Amino acid sequence: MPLKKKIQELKKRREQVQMGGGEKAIEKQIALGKLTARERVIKLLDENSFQEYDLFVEHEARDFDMDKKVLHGDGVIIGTGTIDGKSVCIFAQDFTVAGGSLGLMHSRKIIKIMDHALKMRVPLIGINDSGGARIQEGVNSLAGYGEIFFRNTISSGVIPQISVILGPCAGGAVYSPALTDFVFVVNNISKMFITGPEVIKTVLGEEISMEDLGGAKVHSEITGNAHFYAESENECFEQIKKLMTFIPWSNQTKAVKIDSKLPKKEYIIDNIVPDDPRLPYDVRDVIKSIVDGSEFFEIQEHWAKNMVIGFGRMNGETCGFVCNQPLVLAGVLDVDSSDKAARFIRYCDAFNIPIITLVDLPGYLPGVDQEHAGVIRHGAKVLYAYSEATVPKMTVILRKAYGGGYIAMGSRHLRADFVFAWPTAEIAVMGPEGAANIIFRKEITTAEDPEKMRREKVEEYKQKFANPYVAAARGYIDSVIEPSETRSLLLHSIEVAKQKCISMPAKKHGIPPF
Amino acid sequence: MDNNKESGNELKNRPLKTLMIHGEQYKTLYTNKFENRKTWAKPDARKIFSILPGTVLKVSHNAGDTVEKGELMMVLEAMKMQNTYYYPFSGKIKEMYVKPGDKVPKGFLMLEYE
Repeated sequence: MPLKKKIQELKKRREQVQMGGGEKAIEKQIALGKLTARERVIKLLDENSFQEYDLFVEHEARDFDMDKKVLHGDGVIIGTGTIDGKSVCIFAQDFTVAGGSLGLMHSRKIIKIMDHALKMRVPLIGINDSGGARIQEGVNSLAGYGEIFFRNTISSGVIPQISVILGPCAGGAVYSPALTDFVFVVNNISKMFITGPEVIKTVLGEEISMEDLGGAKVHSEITGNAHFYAESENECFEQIKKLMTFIPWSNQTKAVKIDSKLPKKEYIIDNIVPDDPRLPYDVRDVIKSIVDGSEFFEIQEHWAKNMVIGFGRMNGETCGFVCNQPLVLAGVLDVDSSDKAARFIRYCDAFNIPIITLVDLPGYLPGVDQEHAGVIRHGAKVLYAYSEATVPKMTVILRKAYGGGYIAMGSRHLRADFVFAWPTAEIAVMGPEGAANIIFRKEITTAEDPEKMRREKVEEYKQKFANPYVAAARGYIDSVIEPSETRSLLLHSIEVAKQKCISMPAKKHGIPPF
Repeated sequence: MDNNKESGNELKNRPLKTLMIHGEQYKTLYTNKFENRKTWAKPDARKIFSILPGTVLKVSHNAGDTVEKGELMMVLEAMKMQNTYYYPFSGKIKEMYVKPGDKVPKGFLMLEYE
């Protein structure tokens, strides 16, 4: 056969396989408001950059008449391509082929591209759209999942791993995204759960819809399993591309530096934080008054809103922001906000991203539910994460820094490199009201007018302790600064910390409070 | 869901509530989780609740019966297991709320001691 004919045959074969589950299945996928796996890959990657591998892989299941079935590509697309000109590895499960179910060869394709990503030190992007294990393939399918989870774990902290949930992702399959750095979900399309509504109904008698059990909103607002929420697949891809601009390609490199921009003039740092410590404000306005171009890329925007985390640039370089949010629950630390902050701190530390902490919190959230939910164990994660992190750590105390919250939020004692405080800072064991009631209990109860005495004592405590100067006198904070000096001082400290080098005692690994 | 792209504006427009911490009242917003949190109540040892959702297979006694600590109370099939439950202390049963074949959710009141 002449080459020309062979090439024609190759083209024909390609075309056939690229149709995935065939026209009918594709129509169904589209009717569900979803793009096909191939469309997704092409939309996410730079134009014409996708190079596919293992297109002709076929399943090798023989039982249950599976040998008579042809499953193109075994229900998954793998390959490499570029985003913003830089290489990435990608896989996308194809729901049109046997519901994207994971069999042996399907898993081997994913494993191949995962190994590739780790070896080449490039990010791995996984698009999940699968009914789960291919039951006909029995333990082979479980083995496939296990191999994937192992690689997710080994690659963690070495290369960025991004999971995009664009369909069902149920049972064991959900653990792969859970082991990755960032999980993206899309409204009405993403569904994640360990046991589905059917099982819950038959076993437990509880009726719930897929959306209410594990839809995009549930994971963005309630569980914290997802990091980014989008209304459409296209919006989701834009979010991924934006995230990629902020992160380094591996733990051996730094994020690409871009040109520095001044913050927008409309964010006037002096006008954001109210003097009265009981009044709220949006800490994101403070971030925007500090970062390049007032551009802040928030992560987990809809979950544990009392803690704000995300990326911003300082002089063109990516920094991670960890900030109390007085606008929600007075910015307290609680179970969820501790988890949120601690994980992000560890992310930044793993990927050489300096951490900027903005502090304004009254402490930990009181409540039986919090105590019983293990706020001790969860709160400890924040201490652990800050203490362990060796990237440059800069902390600015904007207003309140009370009690355990003061220690936890990137304090000097957990080895922050630079700690600044605004003149509005109040660094104390607790707020003046609570402290005066305890310290001056005797004077207050025995006074002729206890209420008057109480107010006097609260005022006395305020004057003496509700300021940054007691902490400054001990060197716990390095400088008391004007709010308008914040950006220039942070830029200065980031520059100074460029060559930061500290050694930690040798160990296999610590035992963080999970 | 906060879909406002210029993030924060949606939050800023909500009416503020009060949160009391260490005697200080802070003006702030609540999260849904905080707003819907359950108030803790001291558990009543005389009331036995299901700790797993499942199907009741066997019930050993009826209301009015006197039972001994450690005696078989019931068998509840849950999580693919026939789980046996024993009386935590001796006493008289005031009310038995379940019978064999009943499907019970988690936290369901199954029986009450006098």
